[in-house]
Amino acid sequence: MIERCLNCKFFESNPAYIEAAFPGLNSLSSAYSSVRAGAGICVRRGIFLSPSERCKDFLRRD
Amino acid sequence: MAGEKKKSSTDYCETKECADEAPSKPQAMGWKEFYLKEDWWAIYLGIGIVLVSLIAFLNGSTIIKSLAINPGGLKWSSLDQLLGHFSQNAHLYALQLFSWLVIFGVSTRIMGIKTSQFIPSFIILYLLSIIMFSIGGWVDAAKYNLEPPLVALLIGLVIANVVPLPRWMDSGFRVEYFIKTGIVLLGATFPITLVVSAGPVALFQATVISLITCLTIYFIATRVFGLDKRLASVIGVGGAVCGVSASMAIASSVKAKKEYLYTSVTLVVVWALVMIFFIPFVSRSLNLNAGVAGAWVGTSEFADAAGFAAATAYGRMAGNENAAIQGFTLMKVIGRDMWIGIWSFIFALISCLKWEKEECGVKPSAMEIWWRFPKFVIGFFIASFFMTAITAGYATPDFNKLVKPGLLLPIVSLRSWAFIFCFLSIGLTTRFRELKAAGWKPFGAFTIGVLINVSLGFFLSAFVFGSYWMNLGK
Repeated sequence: MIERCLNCKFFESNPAYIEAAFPGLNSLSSAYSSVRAGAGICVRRGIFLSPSERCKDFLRRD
Repeated sequence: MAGEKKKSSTDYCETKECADEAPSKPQAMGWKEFYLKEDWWAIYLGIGIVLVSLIAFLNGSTIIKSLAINPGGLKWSSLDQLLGHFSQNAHLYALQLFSWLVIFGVSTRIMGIKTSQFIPSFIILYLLSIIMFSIGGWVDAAKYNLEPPLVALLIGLVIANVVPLPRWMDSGFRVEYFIKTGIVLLGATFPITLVVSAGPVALFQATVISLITCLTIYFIATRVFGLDKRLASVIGVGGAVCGVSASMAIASSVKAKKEYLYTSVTLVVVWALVMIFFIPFVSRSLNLNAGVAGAWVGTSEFADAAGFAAATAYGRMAGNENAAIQGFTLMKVIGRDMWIGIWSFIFALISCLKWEKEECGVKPSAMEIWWRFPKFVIGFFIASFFMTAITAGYATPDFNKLVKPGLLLPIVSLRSWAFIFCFLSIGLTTRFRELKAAGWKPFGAFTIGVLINVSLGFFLSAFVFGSYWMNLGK
């Protein structure tokens, strides 16, 4: 069974991490806003995606 | 390896088989959203302040009126006069700072921001805000175009780009949190009848501008410059709807490379800063009606925070701040912001059904529209409806003599504080050296979209719907 990115060790959605990853993002927006809806960065693939996505490289977060 | 299925070209496993195997979990954060997202906290704080103000007003207490003190309306002409005001009211300013620290400090702590970082940076922000209000309260401020929103932004930019402020100080410079709280407070002085009467016009104008700007940027980026369609969609919606916030929403809907989102952040920040100064000064040179200029800002500025800075600045220049803010709010907050979720859903569908085809295993849900909805707008509507209902029972003389000075003006003052915190924070968090180089092609596509947006926004605001916007603020 393949789980969602939400629980994957490669998925980073901490707001402080997101704001540090995109300098300038907090100048006119915020990683703490509703519109982000939990989206984060897959550090393995370098993409920004929803926590409900999934892929075969899933590794459960420790 | 023998027996192993070949992976897709994107290395995703989103085949139909995967989709069938995957557990169905909702994407939304569930109850956590109510205490981890600043949109909800902006509602709690804004509505809370309105309720406390109302209770104090009904009981004849002046505590909120005292706490809402600011030096912006002093019209001081000598430093002695200004210093005299502060020495006489030092206890009120101390109490006010303490109150802001408690409500913002506790709420940001719950959201996960370190209090040890928030407190010192917010104290600096508060002291700078007092200076901004004081500049605005100078008797000759208007003569020299010293509008507090623009001055706050400029001083913030200078400090952030000259003084090496440590990055942890951003913990106290919460641009979006402050503007959202201010918008909910704005709802308390915004008649719901105005939303009902002018809302449909705003929604129609927003629909026209959103569609044309997004499609222009998208097609120029893909057809003329040959850019990746995911990058085109991220910058297209960023330019058409709500800047960085919309870019974030679309980037996650289409699973964009993180560089694409970073590119969009740079483009939006740079053009939003340009528009904060461009639209007010062009409006002034054309002697535009404040409501019309507010609607233009709402149509063509990229972010709520930047737009409020521009609209407030021009409203003060034109002598009708209320009209400019009303025009902006109707167009941007009620009109364009609604499109974030809709575009997210549309692009998620396109991405899934057209770009990925067989690889798409996570079927987009129409609930995306709600998940991406900027929830603080709900607080604006609640405050507007509630206060309109409360104040409707007062006859005009009583309203002007009692309700306005005792209830509404203190709320307006607290809103001004939230806005000035925001305008300063925009400058203080914008470090040009940290912005990513966007590349000429994305810059070109976005800039063409900006030019069309600004021109069309002016045409719609001044000519097509000008008669509606001119009636604001009366």
